[in-house]
Amino acid sequence: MTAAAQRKKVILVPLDPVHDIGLKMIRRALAERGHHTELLPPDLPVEEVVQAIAQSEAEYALIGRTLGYEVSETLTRLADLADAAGVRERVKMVVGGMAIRPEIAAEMGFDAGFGPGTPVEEVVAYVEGRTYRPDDAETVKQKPSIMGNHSYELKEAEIGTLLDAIASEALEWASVRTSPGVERARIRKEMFEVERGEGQDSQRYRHLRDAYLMLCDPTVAASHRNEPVLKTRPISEDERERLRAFVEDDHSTPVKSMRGGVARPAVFVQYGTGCPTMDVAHIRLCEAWGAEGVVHFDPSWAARKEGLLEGYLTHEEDGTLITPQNLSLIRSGLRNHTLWQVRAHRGLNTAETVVLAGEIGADLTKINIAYGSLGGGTDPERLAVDAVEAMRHAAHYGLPFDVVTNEELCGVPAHKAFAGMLIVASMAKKLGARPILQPLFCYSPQVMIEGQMKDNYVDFNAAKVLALRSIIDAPIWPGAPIGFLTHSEDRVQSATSTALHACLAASLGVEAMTIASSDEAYSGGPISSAARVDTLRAVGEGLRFFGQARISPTERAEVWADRLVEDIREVLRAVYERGSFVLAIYEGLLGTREDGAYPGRAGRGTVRPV
Amino acid sequence: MCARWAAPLEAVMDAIDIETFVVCDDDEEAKKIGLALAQHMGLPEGDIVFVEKLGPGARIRIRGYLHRPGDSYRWLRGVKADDCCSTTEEGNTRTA
Repeated sequence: MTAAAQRKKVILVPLDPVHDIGLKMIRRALAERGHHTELLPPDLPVEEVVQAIAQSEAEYALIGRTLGYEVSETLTRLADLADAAGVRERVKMVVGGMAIRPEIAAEMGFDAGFGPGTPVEEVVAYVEGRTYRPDDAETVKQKPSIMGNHSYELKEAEIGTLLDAIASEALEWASVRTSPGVERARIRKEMFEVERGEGQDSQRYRHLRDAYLMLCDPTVAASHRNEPVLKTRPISEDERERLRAFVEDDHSTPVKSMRGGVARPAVFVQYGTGCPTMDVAHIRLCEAWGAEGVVHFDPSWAARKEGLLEGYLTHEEDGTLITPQNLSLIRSGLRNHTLWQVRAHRGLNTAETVVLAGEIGADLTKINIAYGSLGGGTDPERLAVDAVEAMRHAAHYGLPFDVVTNEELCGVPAHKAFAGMLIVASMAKKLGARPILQPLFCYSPQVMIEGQMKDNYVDFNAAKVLALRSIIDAPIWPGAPIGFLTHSEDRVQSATSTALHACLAASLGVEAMTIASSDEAYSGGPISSAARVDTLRAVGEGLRFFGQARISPTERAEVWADRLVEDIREVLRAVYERGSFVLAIYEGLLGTREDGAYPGRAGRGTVRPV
Repeated sequence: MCARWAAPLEAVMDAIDIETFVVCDDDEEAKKIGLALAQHMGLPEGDIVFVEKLGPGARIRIRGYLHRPGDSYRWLRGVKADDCCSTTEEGNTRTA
């Protein structure tokens, strides 16, 4: 409540026939703060309006105008009549509404103008002579927790027993094997430790670097000697300095919140334009439009080389190279409240990438042996050894990771992909890590053929979440991105589809979701910044629309969930009977060639006994 | 001369899209119109992002990239909205 001496007298004037809602909201807010208000009837002639203002004791006249016809004429006449009546010396004349632009209001001689979308609080602040500051809830964000209080309890007795046995076998198998990727990760970790203590010029650091380079592909080793790398360009010191200035300039820009004060899944976007500088620019705009997390995309060709490149490198094609310098540069551009995921789910640098992610300050990573082998091009044996090491590092650095199931996009049925995901999650738990389940919300080849989404996109996606929840109490983060293969090149359709999937995810109460841009289906060039805004805006609107209301799947969701659980059980039985998780991958128990799954070749023959 | 609005293309982060509805007989004609429109409006390397012919014409979106990843981004040069600036012979905006 405002002190009596500071209470204002305000007259509110709706100039349209019926559009006075905004003024009523302002009136209510002013009244709640103790100001004296008077609301005139709508649609009075301007002569009567000026007469009413003149006869009142108002210090402020708040004039609302929504309709767009004759705006200039009406307001100019109002201002002229107010001048002639002498009320301008006593009353501040303020105009606002859908038809108003602040600069036009100023040209017409009004004391202030408020355009569409102006918060009520901003007008109240003006009346009270205060500087308006947006609600802290909209501008000061906290880094969300996406892990929840999940116990990882296995709820299905037989499935629990099978997962325990399969995971134990896989970990025991991996414990007596190593690879160049495992060894590089350990060296890299030690390099960070020595760098912090003795520095990069120390003899010990140089020895470690030499040992590291011995385990690298020659083209990778060349980058450590500052030799040019095909398809890349070094980012100059000047460019980095300008990026720092760009980020600094943007530091105090308000950001939107998609939460609206209620619990919602954290919204992640993917970046990886190829250029860390452009990535930071895109990240900044995504943060501003409500993204709470960002996911680093790296190029697949780099993942298939032994070792990580060195230096500040921009890349000509999709995917931003993982180097310590690139990650540090991107890290420096993130807002403090943004969750940062660096993927390590496929390729020959899985373990080392987790070390970099942990050392440079990522919040999350991504690991899955089954997908990385069957859809990511990596040899199953090699990835199994490297991923176990990666999970150990993830546990060491306290990095939760999602276990992605994108092999569904190759054609692998959901139940097989889920079986692989649950095995890897069980392995992770035994290693003290914190896995997050990542089912796809997608129009997959399986449902195209079998017709689960013939009627709607809700039931089968809901069934996936229901099935997983009936098996294990674990965090769930649908991805990646949600709505995969439902998007077209039309930005309205694309953003709408993403928003609807986001609303479904929120309705199902999952912990996080990864969304696409509206350029998801456009292959003619890089994702544009405007395309990112499209989808974030659509998702924000969708979440606002549903609030805490829920989407109701049909009864088929439960039926399909039960079916998924039974099919997962069958796959796990087969893997258990095979006696080897890794051989089960090679032999198609988690996805056959007919399904579309092909065990990768990168790194084949590089695993050796310890 | 004042900054960003004096050289507006330099403020574009990456791409410019033109969205409109063109009267045409089919998608192919719409694409030809779209590409010609891009050229007419000076959009560099115009590409058709989306086209759908229904009714008397086609909903179309045409795109040109002013900055592709890895370029030297002119918006990164530290020019602020109220800085004074000049335009060089190369068309680059610099703070005075």
